Amino acid sequence: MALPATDTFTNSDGTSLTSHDSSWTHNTPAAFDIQTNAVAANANAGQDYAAHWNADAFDNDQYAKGDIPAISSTKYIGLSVRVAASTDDFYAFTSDSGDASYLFKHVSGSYTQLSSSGSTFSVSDAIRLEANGTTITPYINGSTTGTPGAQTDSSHSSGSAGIAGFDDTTTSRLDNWEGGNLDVQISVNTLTLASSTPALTVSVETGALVVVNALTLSSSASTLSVSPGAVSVAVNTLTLTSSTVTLLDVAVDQTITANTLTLTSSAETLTVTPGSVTVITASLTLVSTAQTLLGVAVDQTVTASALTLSVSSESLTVIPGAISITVNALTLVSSTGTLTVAVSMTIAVNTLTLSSSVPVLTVIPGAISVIVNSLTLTSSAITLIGIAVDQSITANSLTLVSSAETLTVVPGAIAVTVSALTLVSSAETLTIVSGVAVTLGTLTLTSSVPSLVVIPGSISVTVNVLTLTSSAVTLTVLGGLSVTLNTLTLTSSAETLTPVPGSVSVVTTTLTIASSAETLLSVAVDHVVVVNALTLVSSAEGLTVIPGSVSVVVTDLTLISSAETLTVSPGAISITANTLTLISSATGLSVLSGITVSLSSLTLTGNAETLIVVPGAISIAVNTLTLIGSAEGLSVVPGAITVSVTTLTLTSSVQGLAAVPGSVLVLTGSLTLASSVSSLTVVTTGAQIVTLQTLVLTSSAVNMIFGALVIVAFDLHIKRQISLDMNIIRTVSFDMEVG
Amino acid sequence: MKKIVPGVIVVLVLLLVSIPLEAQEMIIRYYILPIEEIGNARGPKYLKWRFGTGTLDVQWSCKDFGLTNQMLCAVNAEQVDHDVLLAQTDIVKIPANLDNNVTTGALSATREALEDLGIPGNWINTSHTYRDVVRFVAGLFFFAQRHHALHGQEIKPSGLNLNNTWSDLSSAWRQNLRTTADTFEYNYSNVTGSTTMRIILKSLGDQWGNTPIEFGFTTL
Repeated sequence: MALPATDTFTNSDGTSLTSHDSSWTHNTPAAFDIQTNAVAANANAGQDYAAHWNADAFDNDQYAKGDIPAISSTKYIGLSVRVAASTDDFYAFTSDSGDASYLFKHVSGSYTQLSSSGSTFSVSDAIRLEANGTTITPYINGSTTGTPGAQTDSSHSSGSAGIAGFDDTTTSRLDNWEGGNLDVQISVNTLTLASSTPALTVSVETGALVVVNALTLSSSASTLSVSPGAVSVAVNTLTLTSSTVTLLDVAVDQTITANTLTLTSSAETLTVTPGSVTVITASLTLVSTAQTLLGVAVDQTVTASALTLSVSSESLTVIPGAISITVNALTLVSSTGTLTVAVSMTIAVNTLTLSSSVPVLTVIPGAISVIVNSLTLTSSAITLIGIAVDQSITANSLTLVSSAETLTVVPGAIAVTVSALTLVSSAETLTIVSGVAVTLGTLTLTSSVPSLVVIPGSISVTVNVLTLTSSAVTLTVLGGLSVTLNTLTLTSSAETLTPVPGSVSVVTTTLTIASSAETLLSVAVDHVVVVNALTLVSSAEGLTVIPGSVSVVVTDLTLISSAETLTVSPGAISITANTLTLISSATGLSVLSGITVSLSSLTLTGNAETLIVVPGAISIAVNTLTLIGSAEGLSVVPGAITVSVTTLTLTSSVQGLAAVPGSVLVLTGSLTLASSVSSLTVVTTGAQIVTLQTLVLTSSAVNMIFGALVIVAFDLHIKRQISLDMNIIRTVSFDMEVG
Repeated sequence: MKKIVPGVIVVLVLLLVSIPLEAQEMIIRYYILPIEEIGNARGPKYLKWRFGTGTLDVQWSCKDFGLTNQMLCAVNAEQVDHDVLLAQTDIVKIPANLDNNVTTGALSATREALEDLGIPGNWINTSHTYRDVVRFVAGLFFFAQRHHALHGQEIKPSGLNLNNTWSDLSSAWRQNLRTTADTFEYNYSNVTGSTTMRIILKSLGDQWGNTPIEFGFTTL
């Protein structure tokens, strides 16, 4: 049977109570019977009697109540609680009409009165007796007024609800009896468990409500346990200040509302067992070590307006399931903080800050969306996101400021969008695997050895502004990729932008290589490299274009350092340089066959600079060619090559203009040999035409050696004794001065 | 002058009449009273109760010392009724103001009064208030009540005193005490064979803690 138990005692007069209903047990034989459809005492052995309801198990905290339809003098009737199963042990509240009401107990049949008497019962009174802990409270008509009042007594801690009475009577009766458990309603304004091993254990049945305005568990091993059931725990302010405090061990079908939840000590745990549990925390702060915030299982919703994990080893762990976690502000400020989120979840974090070493935001594969408006990793060894397939990561602002930070995206249909990505520390790696689209509004690699590595696959990397400021920076793009760089600046030594062969397009609006040993571009076949402005300012800078159908278009090409090399290998390659300046010694412009090199202005200013044109269908057009240094040479190899030099000036000694035999046409509007031992030598005897508008030989030992050559000189000035071996077809003005 | 005398007499008569008509102040005082046994019924000696012989019809609430025939009683009465109790020699009287400290002059008597009843008293010093004393006594009595109900015995054998030790108890008695303590979830881990009953009972009384003690008309 279910509590509360009731009895209206409807039966024939004189029927024994236990015959009336076997749910009753007399604690003394045959002490009660039915009278006028009520119950009355029917024994007179000089003592009080009790009977109890045996059909249900009562909680320790229980009540009995009933109405008084009749009352007479010296005939006592009333209620009992915590009645023993068989012995004469109980608490009772009885009265007659002429004496008084009494609150007493029986212990092994011995009567002990707990207090002075109260008012007598009257007809129609509703009486009640409660046992709650060690407090025994009698009521008349809902009030303790006129009764002995609440009394503390600890003799009996358990038993059953029942009735009590004294004397054999038909004129003092009780009707409409009810016995049951006290409702659990705990309302605590301030609850403090301050000593060691205190426990507040609430074992309640369905429908219980525990309201705690302020709950402080300040000692070790304090426990607030709520057993399963439809339990609501409302805590306005909950503070756990001690170690090993277990805040809430809450089971299924429960709702926990904590307006402010602060876990300040180590090893505090808020554990929510799987089930339809809702945890609502306006502000949740974990400030101590080793805190485990939430072990939340399936079908749960966790809402935290502000979540701060400030100590090491803090963990927010969400077990797989249909869970939504919304955190307006999530800050992991300590080392080894872990935010781990499993599959089928949506995590929206407006602001995520990982400021300490080794905090990890790990997202296990699944249909997960991670949206971070602002994500900042400020410490070393931070692993931001290990995100697997079918995931979308959006970070409006992503900053990796410490060493060894890693943003790793595992293969899958993952889209990573980072408005601004800054890698400022050494050993930073941004690794993106295939099948991923990475859009970087601004990418800045400021430290040594930061790397942006894109592994082969259908990956698109778009970087509006890419700046590599440190040494050994490598931007490596493998085949099948498209890398678009509006502005690419390599400012440090050993920086390399290396596109590996394949259908790669590298478009760089502005490319500046400012440091030594920079290799700007190694471009393989089938590539298009467009460089609007190319400046090589350091030594050993090289622009190397490997044979193939490669077009290199350089609007402005400046080589200002020694040992700079612009090498274009054979193939259908076009090099267009409006202005090409080789400033340093040993600078070489080597143009192989099958290549058109168009140089509006070519200046070779250093020693040993060489413009070498290898035979082939090569056209070299140089509007102005100036050789300023010693040992400068303009060598034109035989073949179908035309060297057109509007103005050719050889100012230094040992400068030579050598045309190798073949069908070479050297057109020089103005040829000046200003130094001694300058040579103008045309080796071949083929159909070569040297046209000199003005030929001035100003130095001694200047030699003009011509083979089967046609020299057209409109003004020829020989100012020193020279050895002349030539076939002058025509001179418009011949003014020879012999010293 | 003859006219004045009757007037004075009238005033005096009125004053005399008025004194008993005024309600005297009700005072709550605590006592440790002997239990009066009538048949198998027990109640406080001197006070009026259902089966008792006492005639002092006052408001009272008592906590029995289990099977030991003593009670801690709160009595809410006029001074004249308290005077009846204060005149008794088998009653331990607690000063009305529980928040006063035990004075040096009363210290010895207070200790002895409790020890004579088998209640540890030597722990009391002048830093303690009478509230401390009464709450300890009540806490110990509540333990004794449970022990009586569970085992039908006092908390220590009648032949032992407070200087006897845990090992002086029979094994069964020790187990009964442990069982009773367990029902309260009391800690007795520090009890050894050489621990005196004085220390043990003091600990058991103290572990009632700060739980309010209800006397109907007052809470201690």
